[in-house]
Amino acid sequence: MNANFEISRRSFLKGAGAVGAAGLLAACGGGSSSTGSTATSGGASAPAASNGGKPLTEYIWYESGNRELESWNVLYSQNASDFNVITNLWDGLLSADCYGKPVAAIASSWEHNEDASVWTFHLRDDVDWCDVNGTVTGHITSKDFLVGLEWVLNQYKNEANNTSMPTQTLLGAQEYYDYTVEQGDAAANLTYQDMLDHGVGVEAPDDYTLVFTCTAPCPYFDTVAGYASFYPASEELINTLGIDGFRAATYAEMWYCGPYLIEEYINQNTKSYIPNPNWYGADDHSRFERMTILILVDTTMAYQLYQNRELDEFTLGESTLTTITSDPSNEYNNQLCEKRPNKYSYQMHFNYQKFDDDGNPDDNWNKAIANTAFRQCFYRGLNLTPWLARTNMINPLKCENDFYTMPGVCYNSDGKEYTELVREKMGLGAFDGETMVRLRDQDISALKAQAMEELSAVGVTFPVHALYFIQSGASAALDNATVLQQCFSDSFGDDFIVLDIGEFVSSQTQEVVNAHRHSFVVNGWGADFGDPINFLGQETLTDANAYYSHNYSFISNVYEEGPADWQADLISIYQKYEEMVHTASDIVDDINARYDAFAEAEAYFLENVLTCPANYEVSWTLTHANDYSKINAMYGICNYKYVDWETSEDAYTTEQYEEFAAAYEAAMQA
Amino acid sequence: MAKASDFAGKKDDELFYVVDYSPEEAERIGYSNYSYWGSVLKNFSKNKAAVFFLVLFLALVIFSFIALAIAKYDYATLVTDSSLAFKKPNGEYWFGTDNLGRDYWCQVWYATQVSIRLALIVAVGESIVGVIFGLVWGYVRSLDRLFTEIYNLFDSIPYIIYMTLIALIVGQSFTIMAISMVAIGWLPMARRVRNMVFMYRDREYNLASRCLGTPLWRVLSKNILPYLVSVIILRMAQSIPATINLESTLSYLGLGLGIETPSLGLLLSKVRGFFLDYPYLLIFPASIVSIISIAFYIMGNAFSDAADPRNHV
Amino acid sequence: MLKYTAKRLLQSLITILIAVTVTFLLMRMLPTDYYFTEDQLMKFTPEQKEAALEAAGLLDPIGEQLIRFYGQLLHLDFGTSRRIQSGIAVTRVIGSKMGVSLRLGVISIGISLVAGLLLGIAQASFKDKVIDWIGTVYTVIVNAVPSLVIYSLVLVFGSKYLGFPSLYSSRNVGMSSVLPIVSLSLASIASYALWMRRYMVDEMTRDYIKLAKVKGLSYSQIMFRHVLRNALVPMVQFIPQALLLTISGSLLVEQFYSVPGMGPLLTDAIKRYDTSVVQTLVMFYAALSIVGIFLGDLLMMIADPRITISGKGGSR
Repeated sequence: MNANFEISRRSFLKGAGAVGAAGLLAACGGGSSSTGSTATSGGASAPAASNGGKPLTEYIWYESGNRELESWNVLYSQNASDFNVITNLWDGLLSADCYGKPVAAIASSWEHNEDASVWTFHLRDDVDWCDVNGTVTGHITSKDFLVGLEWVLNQYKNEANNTSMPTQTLLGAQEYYDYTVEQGDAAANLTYQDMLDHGVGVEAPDDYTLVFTCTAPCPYFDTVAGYASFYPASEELINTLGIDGFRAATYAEMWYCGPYLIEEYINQNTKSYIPNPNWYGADDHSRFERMTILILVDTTMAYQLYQNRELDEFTLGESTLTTITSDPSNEYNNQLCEKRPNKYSYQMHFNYQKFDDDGNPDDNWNKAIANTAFRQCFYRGLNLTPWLARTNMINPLKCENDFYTMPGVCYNSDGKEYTELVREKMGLGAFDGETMVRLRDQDISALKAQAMEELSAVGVTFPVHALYFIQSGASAALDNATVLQQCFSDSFGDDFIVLDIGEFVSSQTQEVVNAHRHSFVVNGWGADFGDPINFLGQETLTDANAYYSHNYSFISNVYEEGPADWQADLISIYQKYEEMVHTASDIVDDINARYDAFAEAEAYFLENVLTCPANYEVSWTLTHANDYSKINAMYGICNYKYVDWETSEDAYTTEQYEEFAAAYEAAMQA
Repeated sequence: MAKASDFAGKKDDELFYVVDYSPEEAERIGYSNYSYWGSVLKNFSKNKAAVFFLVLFLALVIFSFIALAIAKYDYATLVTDSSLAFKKPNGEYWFGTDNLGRDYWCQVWYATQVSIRLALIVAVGESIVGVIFGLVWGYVRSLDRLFTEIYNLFDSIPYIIYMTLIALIVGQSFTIMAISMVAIGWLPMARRVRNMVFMYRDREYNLASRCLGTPLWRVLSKNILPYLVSVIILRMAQSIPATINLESTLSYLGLGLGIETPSLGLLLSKVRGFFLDYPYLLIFPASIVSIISIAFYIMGNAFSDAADPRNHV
Repeated sequence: MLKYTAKRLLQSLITILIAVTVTFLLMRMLPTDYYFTEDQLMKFTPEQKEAALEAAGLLDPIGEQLIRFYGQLLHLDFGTSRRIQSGIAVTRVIGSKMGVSLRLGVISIGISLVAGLLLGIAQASFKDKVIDWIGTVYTVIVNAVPSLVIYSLVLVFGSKYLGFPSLYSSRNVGMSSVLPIVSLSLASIASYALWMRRYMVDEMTRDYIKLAKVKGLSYSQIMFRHVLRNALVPMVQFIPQALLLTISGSLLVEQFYSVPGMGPLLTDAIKRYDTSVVQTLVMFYAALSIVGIFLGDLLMMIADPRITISGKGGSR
């Protein structure tokens, strides 16, 4: 790390000065032994204190082969795999801390007006652009953010990428986007001044102040403003490279403002980062002297690479975990570390308009899934424990997901986590590590009999076949699916629901989902910003931007094309749900009432099992880094910023990680 | 005709007698009871190693059926149970269990049958297609140019493009795999056959046949084909290990057989990650693949020697 | 000779053109959704998709697209990559990878030629002795065991017990190239040895060798002056093609060791539906194989003056 291990006073001041949604900025990193002292520090970590090992100055990690970067342009890219790289090279207005709270980045502080419809960001005055060699090429002012936003909203320039967040929240943004579409090629000549003249809700009263005006009160706008759509861009660089040139600029041509610069990039092999010498945060944050990300086409090799110490960290699959845990003398036996959940809430998204391979409606499935009792069997009867063990063999139930929204997306003013509200409304118990929460005291035999009776009456034949697709050639995915098949068989009995496994070659969306061939798809949704509407809004019946309704469950298609008699109940449930979501999202003046109303809607959604929550990803790792010191936001693009990581020459032990987890929990409570 | 033993122990005057003139006998041509396939078999059976591997291969095929019949678990009804994962071979699980706690014995033998079936179908299929096209290509001069261009076209586009597009557009299954492998594999066979036909089509005896008005199919099948048998057999024998190898590469790339049909290639590509800790998972399928390949390598060479008519006299 | 070369080059050009046209049409048989990434499909509305396709000229009639494509080819413009490295010229994408594959490939061919030929010569010289037997067993095993298994074994033993890096790294090119080169060479050593032995054994039964023996030439003289030289002639033919094909890299080996070469590029480009990259690669491969065969014939002619190439020689 970049030789800055003491807690810096400047960083403390900076942290305290930020007026975030978070009242308290607790420490990232720092083990149990230093919890007390680091609780109010800013970003810089104190790695030596946590396990006595020497901190690493170089770190080697990996990505799988299909996650190679495709674009270097933060404004243009929409891929999480690109953002994981890009976030190290550019900074936006805000970043996040290890608890997921927005923290200052280029904006040093921010505030909003009374109804949260106008947001003002105060920028730092010491942020520079530099090229790949670290030579300063320009100075960043509020103008660069206007240029960036104009680029995103201009259809000609950015080809419609990353537009949805600004067009949905900013005043006049949608109108300006439509205008550029009308203009066609002429839109190439539009500048940020044209955008301002068009009345888009953004202005720069001076060089270091930026004011955004939202279409409606938007209490969570700080979580929106950290997103890629709001990153700065240099007008000078765009003019030099031309529009096509800037859109497709390589790392050697780009100008940077983030913590790292690219030292070396070899497609499908290596990316290595070195610190950006001009980074404004150099004194306040620790960085690696070199971070290397390898591309592993074959991830089954990771274990062996870790043993050779060609990697500093890797995620353990079930087989490797079995091997290590079953042998007490294994050298890694006491080094197994459990990570925090990643930011995705995985759901089984049912398909209400399934087609068979010839493109004809598969009414046996469509009738079955339209039946409420049938769906309820999934939520209340499907024991997923062996399947969850594929991700987390030691504590499978930590992966249990009972909700639609990802925990940690937002907290009410009493500090209560939003999904806890849903838990209360649904009367679910707490995690006990022994049985799945939602299966306790449930017996689905009555439900099953009811579903079979009702469905037989409309001509459904049993067993109902559910078709689930996996990537062909992916042996881990096949193993997962085989175990899931077994869960279906054990939970439902082979006379009721049978799971069939299908394969796609390259793209699930293209080969399966767009062709309506799936019965359900297990898909994770990660938040774009910190409000339940970002989750629940994806499932409403008629809203144009309800992503899952249009693209996965196809309930919108069912509704528009005229539902059959046996779908009437389903549609009325959806209608009621949509009404509840709209009611909740209209509450903007009282955050607690808003969340409460959302929780009500989500509980209704889950009681009728419109989707079936599947899992969280809580995996085990062998590592030389403290996962709890990493940025861990439920939204935004900053989670892979290699800043302020706590690392150790000696691998972390299970015990240490348990202490980290306890300290983290305590800090979250506080 | 008389044999030497007929004359043993007879007196001189009994050995010679006068025969009458017989018009039929005078017209008769000298004729040996030479049978082509008989000689092939005879020559082949002289090669001890080849016969050994033939027996071994047949035993393997037969045993794969017996193995499945006596197996304690049925492939179709295997149950996953992570508590039984990675059990070493024992009395209950003769080949141990895999990473999901499923019996490995029935998986290996089932996969063996699938792989052998695929390899044989592909070998026979590409021979039939390749020989027919090769004969026409080589014999009909006016088609040579056209066929050569088609060959160059197919040959210059990497097979991986075909396999990916077939998998994307048509799907993945045993039949599709077999057909697409034949569709690509017939090319080298056809080319070899064509080159051989080129060599033999204008030999004197063929010119004579043509002058005597022997039909084309007879010239091809009686005069030319026997010369090709050794090449065809060798190519077929080579194609069997090649098919198994290609299939395992395709499985690794996600373009292999569908999931319902586990092949040896699929098993091998699955166990890459854990064979160091559990070597038995690799050893069983890898030895079977090796036995099949070596058997066909040796048998192919021996058979091709035996099938060459020049070695028959 | 010159006329023949010109005629043959022209024919090859037509073959390449047909091959790339077929590829062009094949790639456009898939639905247009294949042009987008999963994330784009997730976030784009149908209008946005339409706009993006239109901007890239992918909604024009096929004939029009094809003519435009030919026009670009005339200007030696191979287009830009859409997904592999978004917006970068295809020639640059390929250029950066070619060198790596070429270097590994040439070294491996050098090693396998030397080792393979020596093994073949040894086998033929000591026919039916222990060394011949060992060589045959090696050949059979390398051909019989699937390459996937062989590479896994090389990787595990090379990295675990001999301490070589398992992944190719540009910071440590020498050491990290060892395992990929070994993997590449194993099979080609076997094949060179096999053919060398075959040709030498064939040559040894020739009448002129019998004469040489009768004349009283020593065994080594016969072997080196006559058998070896004549047996090398057919071997020479394969060398240019083998060298040129190294440019295209080995899919399996390069994937295995994360070598940033040409091998996985084609499958990657197909799976990401990067049409310009696929088309250019096909053209490139077709050209390589045709030039390789041509050079092989030429080299054989130089090595053995008795051989002359007639108008039809190339296709034989």
